[in-house]
Amino acid sequence: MMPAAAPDSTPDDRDRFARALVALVPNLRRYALALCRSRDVADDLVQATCERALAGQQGFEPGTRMDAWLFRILRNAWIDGFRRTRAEGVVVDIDAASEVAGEDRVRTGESRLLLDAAGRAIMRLPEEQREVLLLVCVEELSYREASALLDIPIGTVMSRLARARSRLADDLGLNAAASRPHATKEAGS
Amino acid sequence: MNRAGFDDEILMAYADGELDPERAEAVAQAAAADPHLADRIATYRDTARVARDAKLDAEGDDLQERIARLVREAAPAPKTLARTVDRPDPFLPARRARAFRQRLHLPMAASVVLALLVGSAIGFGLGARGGGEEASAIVLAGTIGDDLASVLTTTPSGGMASLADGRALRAVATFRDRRGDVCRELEIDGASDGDAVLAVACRRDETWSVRFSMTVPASGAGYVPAGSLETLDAFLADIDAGEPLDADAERAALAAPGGG
Repeated sequence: MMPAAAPDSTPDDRDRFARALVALVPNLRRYALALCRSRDVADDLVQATCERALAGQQGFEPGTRMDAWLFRILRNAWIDGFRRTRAEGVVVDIDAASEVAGEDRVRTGESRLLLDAAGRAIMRLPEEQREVLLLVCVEELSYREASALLDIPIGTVMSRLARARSRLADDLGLNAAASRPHATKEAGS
Repeated sequence: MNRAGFDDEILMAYADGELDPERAEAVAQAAAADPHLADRIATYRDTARVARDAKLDAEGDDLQERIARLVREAAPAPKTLARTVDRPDPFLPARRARAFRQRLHLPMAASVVLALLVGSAIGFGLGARGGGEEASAIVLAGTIGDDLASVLTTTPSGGMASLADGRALRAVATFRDRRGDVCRELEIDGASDGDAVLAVACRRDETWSVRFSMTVPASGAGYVPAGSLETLDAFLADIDAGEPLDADAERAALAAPGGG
């Protein structure tokens, strides 16, 4: 059946939708990369997402976060098809690369990603942690929004996110405690 | 690492501003008295900042440009202005009322997106705007007999019905005019000459009457020439035609006695 569109949608809304969609392409690509870690696959994924978004525009509720709506479409596209075609190879390459001391870039199947040290550290996180970190810390979704998008409890969002950030902090030497004289690690208390 | 009952996730939630005020205050007080706790919170803030600023290859080479092109090219204009009379999908009435007039005011990107919507007949509530005379760009008009009236109340938009004279009626959409009368947009295919009739019939006081009709030469393959749709669109704009009703609303409106 046809879904009823939001009653207050106007041509201006639709114009905004088109512009917002294009404006959000970098965000979509960033999320796509966090999922697949390949430039080529990420681009295809973003394109498929935009096609689905255009075709299903009436499913978007004005006034809600469009990026979260698009992320969900992208994630579904990834789960539906892209992931299967890509499951082998790349992930292994990256995990192996992360073990190599001094590895300068994260290699992917087809190409190299343009990443800085923080970007590399993020890409080396396990997929579940990487995804949550990206959604909350980079795209600034609330825990609740991330929970809804990923269909997981907020507690799971928090535990994945905390682990991702501990690991990131270790990787990048961000532990504030380590750089302060008073902050010797306490085993107990 | 636990200290004073604050586990990592609570401290992280505090750093992210996700704690309720009461617990946030408790963490803040504890952190003020405990530099170690404060450092752990600072680390969560640092990781968030570092992640936010990380270079993650978001731009790609020309991805954004390609998507902008995709948005523009998603629905070529000619196809959206002509419609096929024998669309297979019964849930996709062929054309959204008033789309054409709105297109005139839109920049390119919006037009393309809008064009995608033409054909999906989604409601974009264009509420009735006050009174005014019922406009009528009528070529043929008149009340409708019981047989045709029953076809009008029972054929869902997107559906076809055979008329007594052998012509095929196609229900395009159902909407309400500014007075709330239920109206149906129709196409009637000529039996032999290939011409088609575009018509709008509305119901008031349980009587259906034709308020608009025009004969258009069929252009082959079941497409109605785009130009004739402009005329129809102008008429629909004049009567303040609301958006096409969806399947459920249509059923309800057509079933309701006395024009609903």
